[in-house]
Amino acid sequence: MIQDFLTYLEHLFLAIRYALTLEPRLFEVVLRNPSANSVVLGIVFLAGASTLLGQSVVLFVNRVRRGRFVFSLALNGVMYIVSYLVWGATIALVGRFLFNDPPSFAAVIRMVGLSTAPLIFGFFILIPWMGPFIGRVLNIWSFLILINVVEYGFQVSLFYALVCVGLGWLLMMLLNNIIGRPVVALRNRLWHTVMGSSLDASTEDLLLQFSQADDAPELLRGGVRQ
Amino acid sequence: MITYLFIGIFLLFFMTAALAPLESLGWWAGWSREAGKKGGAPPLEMESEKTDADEPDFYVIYLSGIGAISGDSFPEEEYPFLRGLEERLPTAKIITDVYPYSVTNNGLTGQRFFANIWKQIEKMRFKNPNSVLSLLVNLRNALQMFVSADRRYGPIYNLGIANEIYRVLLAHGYRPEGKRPIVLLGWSGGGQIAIGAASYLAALPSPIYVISLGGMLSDDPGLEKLTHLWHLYGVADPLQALGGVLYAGRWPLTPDSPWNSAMANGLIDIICLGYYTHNGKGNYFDMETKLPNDARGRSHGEKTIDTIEHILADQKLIVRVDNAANSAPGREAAPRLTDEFSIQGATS
Repeated sequence: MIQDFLTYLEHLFLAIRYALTLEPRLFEVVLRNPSANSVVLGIVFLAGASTLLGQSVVLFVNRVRRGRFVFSLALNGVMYIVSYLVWGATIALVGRFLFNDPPSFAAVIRMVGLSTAPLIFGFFILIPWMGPFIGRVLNIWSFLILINVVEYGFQVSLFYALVCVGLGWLLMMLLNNIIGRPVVALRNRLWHTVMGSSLDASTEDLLLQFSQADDAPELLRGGVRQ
Repeated sequence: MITYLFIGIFLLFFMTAALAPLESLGWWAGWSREAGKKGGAPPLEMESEKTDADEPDFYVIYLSGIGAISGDSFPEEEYPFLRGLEERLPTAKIITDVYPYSVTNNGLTGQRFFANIWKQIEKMRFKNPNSVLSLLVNLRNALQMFVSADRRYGPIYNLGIANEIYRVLLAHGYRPEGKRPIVLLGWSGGGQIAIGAASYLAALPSPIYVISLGGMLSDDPGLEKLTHLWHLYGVADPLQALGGVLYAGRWPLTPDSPWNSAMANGLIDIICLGYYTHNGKGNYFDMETKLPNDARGRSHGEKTIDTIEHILADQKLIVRVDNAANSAPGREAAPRLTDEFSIQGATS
């Protein structure tokens, strides 16, 4: 059992390393490794949790307890897995439509999942001042891996890989606007239940919301005697 | 081997930087031991009995630079300056016990997990002010300054600091109904934290003035709420100049940013003191190195104090010292602020 777990960790770190360095051996991990599914799921889960950690200011400002904080990170990890399954399926669909002799659906989804590897460093978004810039760099890195895996997976040129990802993105937008709304509403409701605020609330909005709390600083409550 | 060492140092730095906002965020979320201090200021026994006559003419809150270890442990060079300031501003209450790099005013040697390490560094710094390890203090505090300037964390961090300033003011006899002016004197990183805290201190009925001494200032929203900011700088001080580079809101490309709006509305004056450095010989506090070509033969530190005095006199917070200065033999009349210094901003 422990041995299995250590082997899993070894494969996980290897896959992360290959993905980050755009190493061609990465595709062997995805195509031949028997634990490929769990390795890719692990990467996507870690990427989701780490990215939320990087953006966790919203959790702190909402004054969530430690337990809920950890739960939120795990929840975001799961949400990431679901959204990447959809994203991977979209790329696989577009690829099937555009190219001859495409790889299997599952293989494409696994490869797309690997592109999230840079977001494992998402918690660096916490860094003051340069954090948002790091976030953008990680997203670009992730995009480059995605292009690379599409090029390899479908055995096409860079141009066709870009067309495939671009069309996949358009399809995702379309899906979001047609059938995605109830899903997004469900996600937002879930988030609101856990956090007590909406996802897009700014720090100022939240401070205003808490300004009437009993333990709010006097300056914030506006109760300063004049 | 060396590659791994570099990667290790790089990762350690990034990890430290990523953890920097957690102290203030944890305080707000109620995770830290100090969270209880978040509430209103404790009532003071004599508060209701105090009258206008008991209060000083105005309050000066000194917020030290990134070398500060706690509210009562600054780099050695700052003490003569603060004593000089106290002598020159007898009608003011000068408060130095706010530690601007902790939302709970908890100095590095206070109740902290690594307090013992900071205490050792403090001892080493007493023996050798240029000790390499003391740079850790600067690094730690510089990160807190960036937390204050970051739009994601600033609203929380600056609230904590403003709350502590308010507590300390009350403890020193401040009465909001007295409406005595409050001057935040921020050196280096303290300048940024001063403009951040001003955002909340503006809720007080007193005018809030900020004097930045070589501060690395961002385009903080607090700029639009304070009464006035004077930024004093030296031409040989590249660190204060970094503020204008690192924060896009200070670039001319963003005319609607808080910095550029405040400049346009005449809320900011930028005053060049001359050839001042940020650290070392010829810095803002240097009471020994004489200024070149200064008619009165003043040191850098003396000119800094003179400038602050001029600013406060211009605001009518103190009576002009011209008469007192002129009565002393061998001293020339103190010129007007606009005569002596090169001022940019609203007046230029």
